[in-house]
Amino acid sequence: MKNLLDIKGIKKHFPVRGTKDVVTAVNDISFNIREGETFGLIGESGSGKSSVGRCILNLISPTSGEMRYKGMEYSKFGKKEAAVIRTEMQMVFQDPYYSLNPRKTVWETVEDTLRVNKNLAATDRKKMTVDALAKVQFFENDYEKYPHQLSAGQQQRVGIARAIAPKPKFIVLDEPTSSLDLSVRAEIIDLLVKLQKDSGITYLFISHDLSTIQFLCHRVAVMYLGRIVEYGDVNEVFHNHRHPYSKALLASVMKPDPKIPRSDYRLSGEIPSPINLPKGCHLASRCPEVEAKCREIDPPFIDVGNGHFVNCHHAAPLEKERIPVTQKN
Amino acid sequence: MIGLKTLLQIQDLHTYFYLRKGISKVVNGLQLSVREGELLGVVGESGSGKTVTAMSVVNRVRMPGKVVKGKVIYQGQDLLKLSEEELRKYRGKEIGLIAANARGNLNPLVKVGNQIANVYLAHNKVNKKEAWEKAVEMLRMVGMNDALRRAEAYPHEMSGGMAQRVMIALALVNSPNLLIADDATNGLDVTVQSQIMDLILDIVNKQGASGILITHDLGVVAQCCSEIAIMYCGQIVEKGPVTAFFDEPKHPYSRNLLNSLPERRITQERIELKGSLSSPLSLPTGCVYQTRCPYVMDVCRKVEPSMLHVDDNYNVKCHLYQEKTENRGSANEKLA
Repeated sequence: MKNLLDIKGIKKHFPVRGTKDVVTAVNDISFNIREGETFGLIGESGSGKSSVGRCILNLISPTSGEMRYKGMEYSKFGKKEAAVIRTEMQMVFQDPYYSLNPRKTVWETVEDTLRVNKNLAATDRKKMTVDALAKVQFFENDYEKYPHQLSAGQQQRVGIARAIAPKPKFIVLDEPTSSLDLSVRAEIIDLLVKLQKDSGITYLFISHDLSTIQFLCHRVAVMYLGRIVEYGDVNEVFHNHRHPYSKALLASVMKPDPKIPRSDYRLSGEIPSPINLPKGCHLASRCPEVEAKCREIDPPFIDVGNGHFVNCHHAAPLEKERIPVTQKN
Repeated sequence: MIGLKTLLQIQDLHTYFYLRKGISKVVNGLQLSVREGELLGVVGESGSGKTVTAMSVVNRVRMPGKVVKGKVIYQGQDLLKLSEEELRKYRGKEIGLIAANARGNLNPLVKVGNQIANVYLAHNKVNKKEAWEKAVEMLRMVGMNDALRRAEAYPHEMSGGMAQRVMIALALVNSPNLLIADDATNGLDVTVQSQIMDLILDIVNKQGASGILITHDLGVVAQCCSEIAIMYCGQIVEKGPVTAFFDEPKHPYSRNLLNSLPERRITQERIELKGSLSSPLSLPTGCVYQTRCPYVMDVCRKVEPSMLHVDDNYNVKCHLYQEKTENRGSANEKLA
């Protein structure tokens, strides 16, 4: 499969007001997203997942690094050039209610995103709006409703309609299901899967809900303190994870099955502040497998085979010794 | 470990909110009991009345809400009949409540150490210094690094996980017999959630206390609780031991709920859960689940099902089972 997006070494620093400190939200991240796949980004709050999503859409511009969409380096595009790419890259936000304008009806919300494209005739625009709304099961009698008249699941469907209306190739989904109830969540996931099947959209799915990621994604990257610590095929990462952080993260997921015992692999403490990051491996202060060199030297990315990469000194390269899987499945 | 004695029994609880739009029946004939040493998980979607139930137990529902009917019997005493003065002896001492949204429920103007110390002072004959020391000890117990310094902090200086730990310390400072955790881990990262649950389990086991864990996370219940109760529109529709429930949930709602889990969907096809909860302002007569139930029958629209005892400690509120109490097997075939 071809790469749709190539992200190379992006960094994002936010200055802290009143000081010379910077928050390193994204710290030298590289990955690629293939056409038609769902790429998952997981990690705790504060790990920089959302910042990565926003950088990719150029909603915030990365401090440094390269981003290519179909081979085009677009991070330095001017307004006019960026507008072309914008229609092909869209976003769905976490909180459906707060991301909709309370004074716009369902129809206006979706149609207005298409007005940005000045070359679009009014009739085409109307037709595209009807199409997008039909795809999320919204029909004529709901067009004039305002967000407060809709349930959370319906609101999120409007958010999705707004994103798919310009017929994009790529959508960033920033925790689209985390504020929803279980049954509504299932409904939104079904919808996303169906849209991808029908029109081959590529997704970047950002979430801390690991079971949804496992269900939906083809490849996954685990983030910790602005860095990717492990990435690879979803089954590799979920069943054969090597990085101590991934182990702890996946061990803390409580499986809805009383027969699977809880794993006792835990990290101590909390995520350190992203201001003044420590030297060496960022996990060193919490890692149960820490060694002297972890505190000094940045760990390299080690290829452990099957397109699975681990950013840890302890990961054995290529099939030497498989670390026993901590979770039974 | 689990005693046979019932510690808390909720009988036919009705809590209504009197709104301009009408009467919102948030808790609607709820029946529930907790035995000594038992950890019960109460699961329901948003709006099913979980939090209001917790508030009703300690009689803390305020205008425009009111507990209209029912009994909350704790160790033989109906808590709803007690005066505010008498209730204070129970709240914080016998029953500890960990509220959802920790940061919103802590007093922003008081150091967290003092908030814990105040709860201790209210129920124990100690001086302020001893109470403060107890507060620091509690913070240490809930796994707070640098407890001495943290006790001096205000809630806004803490992360969500830390504030949640403070709430837990608050609820546990007087070693309650019954712990009610209302969405104690909601909105926390999985790693922090795991640490918090370890803590609650540890304390419940060590002190031999009982607990009610209110959550919408079936994973937490599967991994931590011994019993599960499923709540829908202010009623308990199914209750039983966790292992039996996850093997074979009985109520159609429970089945759908379980099947919407991504973990289950990897192997199983999902039955669609259509629509949303009936509004508590206009509940249908008969079964509350009739609007979404794929197995709905005429009787469901007319008669409210009663809580049926279908197996050891296993109850379900559904007409599908009423017909077949003697011969449960065929009801299951009907569902399959």
